Amino acid sequence: MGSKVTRLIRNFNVENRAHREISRAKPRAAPRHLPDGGVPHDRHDAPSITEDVHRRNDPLLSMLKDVYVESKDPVAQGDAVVQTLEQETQRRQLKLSLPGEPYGFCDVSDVPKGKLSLVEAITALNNHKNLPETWTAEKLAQEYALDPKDAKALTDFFFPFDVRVISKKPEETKQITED
Amino acid sequence: MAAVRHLCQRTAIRLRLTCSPQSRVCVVRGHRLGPFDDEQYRKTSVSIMQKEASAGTVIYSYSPRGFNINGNTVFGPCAVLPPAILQWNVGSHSDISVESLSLFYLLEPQIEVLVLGTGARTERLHAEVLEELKKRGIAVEVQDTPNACATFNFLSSEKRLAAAALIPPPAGSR
Repeated sequence: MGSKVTRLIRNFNVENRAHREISRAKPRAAPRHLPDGGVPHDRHDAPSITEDVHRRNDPLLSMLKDVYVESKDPVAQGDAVVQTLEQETQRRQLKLSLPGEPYGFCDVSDVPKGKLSLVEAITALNNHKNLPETWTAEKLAQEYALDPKDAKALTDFFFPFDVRVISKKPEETKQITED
Repeated sequence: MAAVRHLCQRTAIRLRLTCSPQSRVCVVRGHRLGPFDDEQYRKTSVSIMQKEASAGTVIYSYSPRGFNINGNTVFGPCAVLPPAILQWNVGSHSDISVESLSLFYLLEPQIEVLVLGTGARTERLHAEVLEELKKRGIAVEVQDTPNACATFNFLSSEKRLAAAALIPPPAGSR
C-alpha cells in the first residue's frame, strides 16, 4: 500500500521531467568534495615555517660535520678462512686400493680423516677377524685415523663372511645309442 | 501486440530462406591437389638400444635363513655394499642403532641411499638413528625385507650409490 503511493508520486509526469533535463544545453555539475575532510585549506597561513626551513642553520650544520664513518679491513675473518681451509685439507692418503673399474666405489685417492674407503674397511675387518689380538679396535683407529668409538662399533657389528666354494660333481654324459 | 508477433514471424521466415543457399555450398567437398606425407618416399631413422655390460649387484632371492646375492648364498643378516657383502651382527630390528650402522656413514665416497630391511614387517626405528643419518647426509629407506630387496635392485640397476642392510624374514611369514 505504501509503496504503491510512493510509486504513484514518483511516476507522476516522469516523461516530461526527463525530457526537460535531457534537452538542457549545459547540465549542472555535481558538487566537489571539500579537501582535508571539509575544512577549507589556506595555503599561505604560516610563512614563518617556510622561512625557517630554507634558512641556513649553523648549529645543525656543525653537528652534521662531526659525523664520520671509519672503515677497517676484516682481519679476524681471514684467520677463520685459513682455519676452514686447514680443516678441509685434513685428508689422508689411502692405505691400499685396487685398480680397475669393477670397484666403482673406490675411485678416490684420499679420504677425509675419520672416514675410510670400502677396500680399507674390508681389509681392516678381515685383519681384525683373522688376528683379533694384534688388530684390535684401538690399533685400527690409529692405523686408519678413525674415532675409537667408530672403530669399536665397526668391529662389533660387521664381519666378513666365510667363503665356501661348493663345486658340483661333473656328471658323466651318456651318448645316445641307437638300438 | 498481434502486429509485433506477426513481424517476428516474418523475420524468422526470411532467416530460414537466407540459410538454405549457404548450406548447399557447405555440402560440396573439396579435392586434394597434392600427395600426403605418408605417400612420399622419405628417409627413416632407427635407434637401437642394447643391454648394459653389467647389471651390478642384484639380490636374487631371500629366505628365512639368508639371501642369494649375485648367485652367492649368504646366511643371516647382511650388509650389502656393492661389490662387497658383509655379515651384519644384529638379531632383529630392535638392535638397529647408530653404532650398528657405523660402516655406512664411515665410507668415502658417501652412500646416497641406505635401504633397511627390517624383517617380515616394516618396523619403526628410533628417532635418534634417523636423525644421526640425516645429519650425515644419508637417505634412509626403512621397509620390510622383501620390498627392501626390490628397492635395492631398482636403485642398483640405476647405478646409484645404494647400500642395503637386510634382516631375513622369519619362517612362516609368507
